[in-house]
Amino acid sequence: MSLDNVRLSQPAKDQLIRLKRITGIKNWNTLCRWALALSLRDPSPPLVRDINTDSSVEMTWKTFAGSYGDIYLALLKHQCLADGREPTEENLSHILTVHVHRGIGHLAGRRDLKSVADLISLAAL
Amino acid sequence: MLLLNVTLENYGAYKGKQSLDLTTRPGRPVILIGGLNGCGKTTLLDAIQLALYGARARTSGRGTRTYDDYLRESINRQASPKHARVVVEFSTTVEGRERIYKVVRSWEVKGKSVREFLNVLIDGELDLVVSEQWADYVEDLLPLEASSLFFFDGEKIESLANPDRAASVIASAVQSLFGLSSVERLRNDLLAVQRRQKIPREDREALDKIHQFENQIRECDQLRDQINQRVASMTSGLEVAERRFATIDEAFAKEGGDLYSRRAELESERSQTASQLKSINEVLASTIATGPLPLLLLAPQLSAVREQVERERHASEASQVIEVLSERDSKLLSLLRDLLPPNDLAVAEKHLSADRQERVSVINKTPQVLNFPSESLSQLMSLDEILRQEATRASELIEQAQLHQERLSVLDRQLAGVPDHDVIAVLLRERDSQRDDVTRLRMELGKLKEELDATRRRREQLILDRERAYKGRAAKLAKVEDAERIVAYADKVRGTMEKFGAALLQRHINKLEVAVLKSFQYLMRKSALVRDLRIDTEKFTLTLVGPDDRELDPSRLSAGERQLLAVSLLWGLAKVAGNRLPTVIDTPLGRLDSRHREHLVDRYFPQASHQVLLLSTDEEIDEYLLSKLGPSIAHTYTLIHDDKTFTTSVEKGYWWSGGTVHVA
Repeated sequence: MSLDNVRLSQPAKDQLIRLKRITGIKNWNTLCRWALALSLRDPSPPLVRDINTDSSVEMTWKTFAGSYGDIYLALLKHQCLADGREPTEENLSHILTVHVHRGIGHLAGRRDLKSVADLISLAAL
Repeated sequence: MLLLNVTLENYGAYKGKQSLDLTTRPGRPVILIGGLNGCGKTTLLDAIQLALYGARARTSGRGTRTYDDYLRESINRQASPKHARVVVEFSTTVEGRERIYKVVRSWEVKGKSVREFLNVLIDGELDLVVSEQWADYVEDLLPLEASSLFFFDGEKIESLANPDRAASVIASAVQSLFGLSSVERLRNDLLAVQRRQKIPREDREALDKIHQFENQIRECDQLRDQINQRVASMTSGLEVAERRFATIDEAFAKEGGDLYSRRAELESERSQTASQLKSINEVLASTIATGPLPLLLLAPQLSAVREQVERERHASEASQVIEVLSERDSKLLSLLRDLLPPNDLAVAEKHLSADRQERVSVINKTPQVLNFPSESLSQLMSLDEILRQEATRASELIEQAQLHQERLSVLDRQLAGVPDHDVIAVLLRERDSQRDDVTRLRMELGKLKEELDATRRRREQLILDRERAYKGRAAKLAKVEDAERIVAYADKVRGTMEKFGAALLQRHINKLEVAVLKSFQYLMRKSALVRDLRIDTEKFTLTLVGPDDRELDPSRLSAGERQLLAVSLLWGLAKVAGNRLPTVIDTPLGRLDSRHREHLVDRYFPQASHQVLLLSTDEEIDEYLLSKLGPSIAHTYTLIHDDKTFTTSVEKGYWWSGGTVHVA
């Protein structure tokens, strides 16, 4: 797997579909960025290690990261280093995947998340 | 009044100018004028009356002829031109002064017309004004009514003994001679003055107007009271209606009536709010959420990254300069080797080497792990600022979204609380009808109050009008009071005048009774024939009372006695009137016997007046009587008629007095 392609598991996709409906956000990548940030904020390492990225959802890094791609990459590398690993492409891709999925799970699990405002409030308030 | 002179010119039988001096002296009042029948004695009497009274004169010869015919035919037939004149000169006291009047009446015939002229000279001077108004003027001097009493024909005098005839003579004498007519005229004048004061009607009009205003004001007051009552009852009715409405309204609100009536409003607000919320959420979802905001979650990580990037950049710079520096240092040291002592050089070398060492150690200590691309550095550096802005914008939008969300849930709750139509319809109807009641009552009340205002304004106007009327009346009242005073005093004076007149009449009548009785008894042979004499003050009838205390019918008297009674009456009148007028007696002794003639000559003629003209035949005043009358005579004249020329001339003297030529 490579950073050039970000792929999601089927359960994550299902959760994202629900989140898209709740928040009115149209693009996968937007929600995925929120999920990544949310997960990265949690200093504890994600429990899930192996994720079967078997869904049809797939996007390039460029699509995923958008205009702040360099910053997200630096953050990933920072996390990689913090985890005590070489920031290889493989490692980075792994971190990205586990964090995105943990974040998606986190979002999906929040009962109080009812609108896009609730989502944004996570960061802005 | 004293006749001074009479002149006749071509009047009747008198041809040419004939003049008689009539002045008298004290104690000699008699002027004796003799003349046979048809000589013109009566004409002379007529002349005096004609001169004084003109057309009104009661001349003997006029009959039923018109005045013009009378004048024409009284011109002497032989006169040419046909011109005649009578002149009477007399003196009288006017306004306390003796004046001499000369009345000249002349007339002439030219063809068929007769022209009359009258000139009056006062104290010798022609007075045109008096001449013009002589007919009125003479009434003041000698009233025509009275004149017949003093210019009389003895042959006709007997008729005065007839009670009816006597009554009219007495009445006119009393009225004109005793000043009663003046009293009467004064009363009439006062009445005229009274009638000119025609004010009470005007004041009554003003009063009527004021009463009218007062009535209107009363009506206004009544109307106002009625309206006030209606206002009061309607106000309490309105209060009841308002309370009922409030109760119903409360029940209606409790049942969600407000929400029901606001449902459409609520719904529209809800959809509006929902759409606003939707658009805010869209902005949040498509703009804010897609932006850099997720990075805000990672502030600590970002600052660590930023530090690392700083460090790596620093190290990278150092590695770039280190070779340049060592090259420059060796050049610098080789240069310094010649210039510096070896010790100093060693110090510099050591220093430079340490600096390079320092840099190298930095490079070694900082591995290039992040390899942050330099083109994104500025993005990283400005990220905090961008995030702050985004956060602000986001929180604003979120706040709005929350507000809208809250409003939306409120609206939803309210909409959920909107009651069912069927439940609310009855209440709604009731409430509406009650509200209609309240509105209707308020309107009616408003109308009533307007009416009340109008009534009040009208009342104020009326009061103003009334004030004006009062003022107007007050002004008039001053005049009215004057007039009323005049009327009241005039009434009083008229009453007094009436009493005065009555008293005066009574007094004169009493005096007249006494004077006439006295005269009669004086003249009568049979002095006991009439014991008393009464004159009625209203009808002026003369009543004789015989010796048996019974009324004596004058017809029982003989003709001679009646003549004496008439003379007595005239004498009495003259005495009571104050002897102010001359007495002219034509044919004075007509049917009297010798005894009565003597009585008259002895007792009456010398005392009848201060001037007594006797027009007598030779049979009446004969030689014997003339001798008795002699001492009282002032002048004697004889009228001599020429049977051939049919003209009369006046000669001085009487038949038996000396110097007179008789033609008989």
